[in-house]
Amino acid sequence: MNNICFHCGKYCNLILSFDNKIFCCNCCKNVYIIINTYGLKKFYELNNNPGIIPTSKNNYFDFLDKNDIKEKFISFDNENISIIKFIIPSIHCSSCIWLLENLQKINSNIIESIINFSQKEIFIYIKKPYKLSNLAKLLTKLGYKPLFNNFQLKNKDLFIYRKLLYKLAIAFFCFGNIMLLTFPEYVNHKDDFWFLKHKYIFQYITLILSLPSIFFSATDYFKSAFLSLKKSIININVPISLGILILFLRSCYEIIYNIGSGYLDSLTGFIFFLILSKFFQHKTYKAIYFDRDYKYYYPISVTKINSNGIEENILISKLKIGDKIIIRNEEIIPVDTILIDGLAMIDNSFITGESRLISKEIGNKIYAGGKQKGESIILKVIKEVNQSYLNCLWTKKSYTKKVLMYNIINIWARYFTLIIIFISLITGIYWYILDPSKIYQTICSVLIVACPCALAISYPFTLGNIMRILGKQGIFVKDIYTIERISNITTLVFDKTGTITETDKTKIFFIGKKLNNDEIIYIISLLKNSKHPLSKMLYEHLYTPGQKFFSIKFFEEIPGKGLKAVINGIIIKIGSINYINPSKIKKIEKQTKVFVSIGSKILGYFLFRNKYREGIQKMFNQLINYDIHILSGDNNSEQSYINYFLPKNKIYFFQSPESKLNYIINLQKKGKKVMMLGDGINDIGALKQSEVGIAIFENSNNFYPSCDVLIEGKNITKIPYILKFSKLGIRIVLLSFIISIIYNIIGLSFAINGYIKPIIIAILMPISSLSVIIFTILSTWIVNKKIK
Amino acid sequence: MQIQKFYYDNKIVKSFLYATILWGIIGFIAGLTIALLLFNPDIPELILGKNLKFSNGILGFGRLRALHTTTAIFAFIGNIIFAGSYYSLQRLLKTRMYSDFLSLLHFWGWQLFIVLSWITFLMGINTSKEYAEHEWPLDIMITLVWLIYGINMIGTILNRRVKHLYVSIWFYISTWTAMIMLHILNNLELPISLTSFKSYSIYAGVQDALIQWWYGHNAVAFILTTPILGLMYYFIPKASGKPVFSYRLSIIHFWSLIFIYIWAGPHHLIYTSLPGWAQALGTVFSIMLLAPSWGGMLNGLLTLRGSNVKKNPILKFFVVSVICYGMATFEGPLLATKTLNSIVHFTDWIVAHAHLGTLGWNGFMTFGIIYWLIEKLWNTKLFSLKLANIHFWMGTLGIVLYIMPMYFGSVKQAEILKAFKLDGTLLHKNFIDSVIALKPFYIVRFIGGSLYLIGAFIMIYNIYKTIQKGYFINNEMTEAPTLLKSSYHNKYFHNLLERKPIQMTILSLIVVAIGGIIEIIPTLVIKSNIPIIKNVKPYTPLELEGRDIYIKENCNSCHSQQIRPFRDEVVRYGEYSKAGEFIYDHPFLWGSKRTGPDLSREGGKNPSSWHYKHMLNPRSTSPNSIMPKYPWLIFNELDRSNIQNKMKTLVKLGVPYTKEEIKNAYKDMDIQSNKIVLDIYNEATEIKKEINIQKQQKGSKFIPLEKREIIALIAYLQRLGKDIKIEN
Amino acid sequence: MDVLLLMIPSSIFLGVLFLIMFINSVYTGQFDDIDSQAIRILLDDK
Repeated sequence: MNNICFHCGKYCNLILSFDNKIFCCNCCKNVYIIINTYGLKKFYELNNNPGIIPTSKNNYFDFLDKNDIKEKFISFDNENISIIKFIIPSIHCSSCIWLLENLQKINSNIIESIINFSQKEIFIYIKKPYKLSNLAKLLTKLGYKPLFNNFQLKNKDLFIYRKLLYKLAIAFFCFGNIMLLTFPEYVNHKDDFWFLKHKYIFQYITLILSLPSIFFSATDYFKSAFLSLKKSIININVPISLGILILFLRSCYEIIYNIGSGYLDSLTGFIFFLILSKFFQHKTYKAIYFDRDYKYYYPISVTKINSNGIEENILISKLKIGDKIIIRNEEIIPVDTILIDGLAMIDNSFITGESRLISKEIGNKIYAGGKQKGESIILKVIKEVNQSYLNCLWTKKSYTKKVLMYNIINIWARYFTLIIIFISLITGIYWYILDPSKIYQTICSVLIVACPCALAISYPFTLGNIMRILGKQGIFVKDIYTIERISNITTLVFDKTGTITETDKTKIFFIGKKLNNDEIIYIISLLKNSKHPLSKMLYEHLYTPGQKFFSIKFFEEIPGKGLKAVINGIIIKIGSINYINPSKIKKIEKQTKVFVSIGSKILGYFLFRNKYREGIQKMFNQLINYDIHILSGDNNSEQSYINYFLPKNKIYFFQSPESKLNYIINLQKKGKKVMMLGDGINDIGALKQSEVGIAIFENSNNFYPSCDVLIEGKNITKIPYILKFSKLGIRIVLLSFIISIIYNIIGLSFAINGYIKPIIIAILMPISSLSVIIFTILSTWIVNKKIK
Repeated sequence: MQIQKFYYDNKIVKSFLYATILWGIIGFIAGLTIALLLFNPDIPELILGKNLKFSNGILGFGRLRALHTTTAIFAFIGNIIFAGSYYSLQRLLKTRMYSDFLSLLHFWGWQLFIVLSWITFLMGINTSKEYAEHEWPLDIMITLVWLIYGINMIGTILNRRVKHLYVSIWFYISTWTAMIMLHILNNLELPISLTSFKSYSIYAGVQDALIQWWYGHNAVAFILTTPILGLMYYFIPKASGKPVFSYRLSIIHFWSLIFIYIWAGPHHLIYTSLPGWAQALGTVFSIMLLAPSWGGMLNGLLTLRGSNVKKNPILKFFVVSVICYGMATFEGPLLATKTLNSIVHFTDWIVAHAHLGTLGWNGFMTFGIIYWLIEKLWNTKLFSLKLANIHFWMGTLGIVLYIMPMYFGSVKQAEILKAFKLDGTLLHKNFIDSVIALKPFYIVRFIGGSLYLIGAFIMIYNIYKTIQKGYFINNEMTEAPTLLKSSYHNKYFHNLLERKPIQMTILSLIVVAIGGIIEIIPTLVIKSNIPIIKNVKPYTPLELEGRDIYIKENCNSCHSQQIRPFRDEVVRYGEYSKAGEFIYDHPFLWGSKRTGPDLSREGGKNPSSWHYKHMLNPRSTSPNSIMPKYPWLIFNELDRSNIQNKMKTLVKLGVPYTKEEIKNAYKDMDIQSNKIVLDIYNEATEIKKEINIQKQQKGSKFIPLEKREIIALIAYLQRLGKDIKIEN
Repeated sequence: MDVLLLMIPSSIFLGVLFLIMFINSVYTGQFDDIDSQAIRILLDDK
């Protein structure tokens, strides 16, 4: 019989049937009834097994009804309605939109809901007294649990995006119309009496039309040029602004004094292409933020026990020293604390990267960032949030700024500008000797022709396109400058756990005599009763469906040590070596081992080892030309294993966050360009310090440290490809620089002779820009196909 | 804010849907009729027999052609645009149409306009400007109805319950805005009196041509393209159940299309008397149009990719429709290049191109939408998928059989007309050689058209059966929450007050534009800077009347008056046309297609008696001619009563008639007509005899030849090209 | 050709009108999230 829940798709223990369908629990059944009653049946056609079992207790969301917490989610409020904004990571397809935008059919307190698909946000309009906790419960029931982390509404990106859209639209409009009005100049207009007579009208309209393009769309370039000149640096925006200004002034002069028709078409076209290139590089991965604060991963609130023993949800920022808090299973500890009650099994992978669970005893210090696994614990706060260990680690200011002032484009820009000034000087002197009346005009022409349009757009177009191609493969690069930095990398530093090994996956080996079937049944019968994470893991490893169990007596679990019970009159013990065999000398165990004894006989132990990602060895082979280091926060239990497949490389264990950071600084002092790959908060310093910090994530809503590049775990083997692609990308940029310089030389050869027609510029400008755009896009595409 | 219950108005959609089907059939039949006339010019005589001369030209080819185009474009496509936009607007905006009264007014107003077009066109009341043949009262009516549509649409948009305007709505808005501007600007005309239908275009010659094709091309752009794209972006996703392939691309498609389309018009005037730079502008913009057009086409096709096209005839219609759009928009820029234009302009290729767009792109999109809407509105499934499939295949075959012979015929025609003998004379001196060669192609084209029509009849049967099966809900209930005036990011909350600056800007822009137009138009009309050729004089009163008959019969739908600067044309017709020759032409009569020869230098080529006989029976003077007979012109008395009004009106438009000339108009007419009649009698005594017989038979009812329409027409024809003819 | 003096301003006027409409719709946030819009139109059928 197929006992699969119709709603959530999970195996059912308890079978409830309704409508000839099977459900695993009442919740699932209810959701089905709700969905069905409101005629939303299509949901199931669109989405197989959409539901998720609500794991939390009924009062779990109560904190949402606290005023100060509620405010964080309300984006609009009046007497009757509130608009609630939630982030729901599990929005992923059209059926999600469909169901979530039909919420009003499910609950009459909801007026409307609107989804922003790309941001995974939902805006829910609710009638006033309706509680947020009920809303959250409803969503969770439907399988869309909102994220209650400590996020902030980030709208800055949106503003930048909108502003860019305005600028692009206006630049396009101006360019289009000016091109139209200038066009007649280029085609045998001289035969037409009417046109000659009305030329001035055309010219003045173009002049008016060019103003918004120059004084609105192009302002960023002027600003940037001004700022950089103030710091006496020449960046690419200096020659760009110079070019725009000279072109504009010269055009005004020509039109007002009726000398010619100006170069406004070229100018506005140039501005349009520039902004287009900016738009190209403004590809943000909205669902993923690169500069997440660690607080982002903290819960928004925590349960505090008041002096009179009443539990209360409060904002984390309101925690004070001495407060008692409750941390439940899977919750993150937000501050540095001391354990006062309960069995703490702390997963510190968040901080140290080490996946081993550490048990703490009452009175032990527990640092912020750890995750409790198991039962609820009560903790006493000993430091404020801002003074906690994690925060200190994060805000450490030893990192050098990574913004590349000296990127390739600005280096070129400097020489370029100097050369142009030099050429115009020479031209000036030359014409001073030959024909002083032409000095002004020729210098102007030189400066106009030299405007580095193609030069300026090749960089963002090439690297922007690489970013886009990488993004499609789950490799998210923060900005185009990162790609340039990747191309310079000489040294790679890997974190071990979670980076080259898979998170949450361990290989379990049994070391000892091979277990027979009865022994396995003994073991799992005992394990079945334990909630300890290792027990669970082992249970899942050993369990096969249809397994029989023995009944057990005298079950006993000693926290931090092991389990014991009597089965069929035999004592079974599972746990640490000290527990199984106390007579042995105490010794710190480096590896995660679980010993088993049946009767008095120790059968052996289960060894938990990290599972290395597939293809990792092949990747290291491909990186033969790079200097590779491995820094692990773990103990050195696996040294021999790593050495086996990475014999030549430098591997260090027991690395604290500080030592990782210092290691990178030392490498950099030796002149190495370092790329750091890590996944935990313990890598944060190193990631920030390195030239390129790559964070590995399994799920974009899970934790990852702030970084320059985000890679999905399974894509880590693409590192050689990324390195190669970036290198070739920079070569493409250089090639397109050369192409655009050739165009400039052609133009200059006209300009120096003191003879330049608007038509030459009007032809050179779009041809150079377009050919560079086509060249860069095509070549990045071809290169990608080739090296893939 | 709360959930509101409201009702979609399905009834208005139904009305427009029925109108679409009805006018579609009528339009197809009109088209088939003129297609038939092209190889059977004597059909009207077959029907009316000897009464043809009393028919007042009710079955004249030119009139039927204008009817066919007007019905196909404004009635068939127009109604489906309204049906589709009324259906989709309500659902996209989650609100009922703004006003039921306006919807009804719009519906009946539009149908009345079409009926009136039929009546006026059959009576010979038209301006001869292609796709804008309607005379001034109808132009005003179109403007009013169009305004009603606009108010209804904009009102609906303002009442909406959905923040985002789906891309289709942008296409509708642009359609409305652009059309109202183009329609008004192209149809600025001065009636000769408020009691007369007759008016003159305020522009003359080259200017009129420029604005006419600015309009003409944009009619293609904003009636046959943008609204249909709007429908495509709505109905293709709906029918296939999949979202648009790329919504981002559709937005780029829209904004780039509307910015580029507006300047492609002059490509209709390549190698004409239009200044070269304006022609080049048309070419460049047409070529640029390829990019957004194909972007849209690919977007449509890729949306359909992966859906079950084989099983769903509706999707089949959409696929072929979008492919036809792609082909037509590829063909367009090609035809706009000088190379191809020099060969195929004025030939049937243009006709094929237009029909690829209307039969394929528009027609098939319409059929798809009709089938889909019938299922939706009558809450049932199609009566027979098989019949729909048959319709699809007949239509497709019909299009192929229509387009292909036209392409081949066009090349053949160019080949014949452009051929020279070794001695430098034309291989085929007589234009008729090309006409004879084209006949088989016309017949195949007719078969294609018939298939298309039969397909449409099958559709009607299928729809009839489907409707019988289903049930219709006039007012479909639905519910949606009201739209909060804020955007959901409260940080940018802005109330109406804050939005006013933008509305103010738009309003003031409109005011400035209207003011500017009022200011500019008189200056444009009164003084013209076209270089004046000294010899070119205004038409005499009789010639003017003759020209109005030429316009009435829409002679320019088969005969051009524009000789292009090619060797074959100059040798065949005479000196190529100059801009200065047309300064008194209100409206211009350059034509867009040569079914018959060019007439710009017709004056003096044939004796007046030849024209007389030719009009009576073209095959008597030119064997194998496919020109219909125009006996009523010979029979009818010329209505001279308006001549002074006409002249005065033209004076207002800058034609330099003196007061003396106007005063002596009747006298001048008598003198000129007497001379022509004398010429005819001298040349052909049999005509004199015939007229005398008539005189005896009719007695007091007899109209002397001098007073008949034919004489005015001959006067006009004999004048054509004379002004700058080099006399030896 | 004076008619161009009418046509050019009209065309630019039309362009400006659409430009304003575009800017206004960006301003009101209509183009912030365009990924959901294409899907949304399909969801109104029962």
